[in-house]
Formats: sequence, structure tokens, C-alpha cells
Amino acid sequence: MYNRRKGFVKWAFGGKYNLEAYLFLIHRITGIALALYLPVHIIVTSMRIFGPESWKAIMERVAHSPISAFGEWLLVVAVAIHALNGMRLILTELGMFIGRPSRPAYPYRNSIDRQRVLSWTVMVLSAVFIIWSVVAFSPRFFH
Amino acid sequence: MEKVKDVVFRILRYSPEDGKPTWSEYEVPVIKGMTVLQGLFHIKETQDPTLSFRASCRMGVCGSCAMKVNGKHILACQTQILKLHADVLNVEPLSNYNVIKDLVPDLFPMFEKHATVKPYIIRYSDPEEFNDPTGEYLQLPDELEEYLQFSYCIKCGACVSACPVVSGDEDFLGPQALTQAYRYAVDTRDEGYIVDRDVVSDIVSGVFRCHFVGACSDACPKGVDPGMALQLLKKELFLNSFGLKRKKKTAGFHRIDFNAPPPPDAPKPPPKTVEG
Repeated sequence: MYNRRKGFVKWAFGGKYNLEAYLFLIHRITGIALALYLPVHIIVTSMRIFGPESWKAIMERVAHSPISAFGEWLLVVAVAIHALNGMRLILTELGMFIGRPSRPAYPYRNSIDRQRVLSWTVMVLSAVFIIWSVVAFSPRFFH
Repeated sequence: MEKVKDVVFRILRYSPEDGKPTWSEYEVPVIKGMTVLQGLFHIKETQDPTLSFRASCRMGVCGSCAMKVNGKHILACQTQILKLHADVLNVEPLSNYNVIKDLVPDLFPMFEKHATVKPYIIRYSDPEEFNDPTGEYLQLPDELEEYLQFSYCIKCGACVSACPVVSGDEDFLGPQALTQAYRYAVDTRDEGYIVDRDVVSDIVSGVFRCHFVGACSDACPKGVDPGMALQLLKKELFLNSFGLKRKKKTAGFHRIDFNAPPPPDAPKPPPKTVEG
């Protein structure tokens, strides 16, 4: 016997899935990125316990380079996608937009199909938000 | 029936003696209406008798022949080759299981998990009723609709194979077992509810590991929709933990006197024929 359970990186490339499965992958990636960002953020902002000078010094170093502007933009994008998709998940996991159980009749229409309008809403709103953030961040990129 | 076209079956072969899964190619002449399972039988009969796969009923009822074809979970017996619109079919066994040989997965872990959620009706008020029945439980059509869809599960294992959470952690019960937990928890005849099936709210194996990826509902060949069952189970647990759940309806009971003479207007049984 050999094991075909190989973690979800292999899962992601091992088949063709519905739209929400790929939203799940993006949700997981942005979630891990945000979790890694949070301790860094806390360390940087905690510099002010050493007084205003050290705060200013670290802000000089971190906040005014184009690289950190790009990083901040990535953060905004990650937060937007994660938050919007998270709201979709809260609604569906509380039983909204997924319909009621009914006798299956071919061609099957399941709960995923019924809530797909939410998925498209999340994607359109994310796209709008990303375009807006590019416009809002452009003065800092080309500073 | 004349041949429509030749389709190449690329099958992920594995033999315990060789130890490493490899792809083999077989060319199959496809006629109109031919299913993937018929293609596999054609290979076994004419090209390679060592090919192993599970199949029994050929009509999507037994749940033996679930496999992955071109990345999609299907029942081989109810999927027509021409409907797949492909010249090459990549046929793989189900993911998230151990593979015994070729296309035969070891489904035993799924059945083990299925047993842990107590997939049967639990009675406390009349425990002797099941061994010695004295009547029938009454259930309204609306109450039947609550769980009927989830009782169509044929235990083919496709949903567990599609689940990314199971692929990351085998302790997770998986869509199949949790769907059956919901099916029995909302049955009005059942008195165990989600309280007795406490494994569903477990932090490691329980339903809150589910992220509503929806791959299970997409994979299900019978339209059971495990994704919906798991979200409804989450809702049930959520409302129950905050005391917001209205009291669960219980089925009525109709006592039948099995020894009573039939009513006068009852249809007469057909006369017994004498043998010989």
C-alpha cells in the first residue's frame, strides 16, 4: 500500500475543483501572510516604549522606502481579500445563502452553486478594492 | 455499434511488489454511450488482465467505482467517455487513502470514522422498541425532507478524497461521516441529537475544521451535498451552544396490535396455491 494523502499543496495541484476551492487557497495564503505580519507589526510599533527618538528612527528606516510601500500595499490587498471572503464564509457557515435540503434531481444543483453569487460579489469587490488601492498608493510608489 | 474514436487511458498503476506508482497507457476504441468502467473492462479483457479496479452494480448505486478522471471525481459506471470531451483520460485512484493496488483504495478509515458518529437512531424513552417493535413512528413529509437528501450517501469516498482538510490532517472526520452525523441528529425519531454525537464538535476531528471549500459537494456523484450538511451542522451547534435552538421536534408513535384481526374492509390476501 502507498499513501495518497500528501497535504494540501499536492491537493491543490491534484485535481480540478470548483471556484470556492481556489478562494479557499487564497484565503489560506493571505491568512498565513497576515499571521506572519502581525508579530513583525507588534515589534515595530513597540519601539515607542524606548522613547520618541527610537520611534522616529525606525519610522525613518521602515516607512519611507518604496519597498515598504509595496509591502504595505500587499498587506492592504491581503486584508481586503481575507476580510471580504471571511464575510462570505461567516454568512454561509451560519446557513445563509446555501438553500434548504431537497431531494437530489439530476443535474444536481448544490449549496456551492446556490451561494456562488456571493463568491462573485467577493471577487468583484476585491478587484474594485485592489484597483482603488493601486490608485491610492501610486504617489508613494513613484515618490 | 461502430467505433466513434480511440481514447487513450493513462492509468496510474501500482503493484505492491514493484512499490512505485507508474503511468501506463492503453488505447480503447470508444463506441457511443460507453462508460469509463466499460473502458476499464475492455482493457482488462483484451489488453492487460492484471489491471485492478473495484466495480459491482454498474448503475451508480453501490459506490465501488469512484475514481479521479482528469482531476474530477466521478463514478466510473455513470460517466460516459464521450461526455468528457477528451482524447486522453488520466485515471487515478482516489486521493487521501492508502492504495492497495492500481485503482483500488483502502476505504477502511472512512468506515471507521463513519462508525464514530453513531450513524443510527438513538432512543432513550423506549429502548426496547427496536428489539421488540410494537408500532411505528410518525413523521411529517417536511421532517423527512430535513434529512432525506443526506441519506442518499452511497459511501463511495469521493468527498473525502476531494477534501483539502483531510489531505492536511487525517484526524478530521471528513465530509462523509459528518454528513451522516447531521442526517441522524436532525431525524425527529432520534433522541441523541448532537449532544450524544459529541465527536462532531471536537476541536481536532469535528465539524469546525471544515472551511466550506465545497470540493466535497462538487465531487459527490449522488447530489448528497455534504457541504450543506456540514454548514447546517455548524449552525445547529452554534445555536445549541448559545441556547437559541428551539426544542427539537419528536416523532409521534402509533401503536399497532400485530395480533388483532384485520378490519372487515381490508383487502384479502391472495389465496395460497397448493404445490404439486
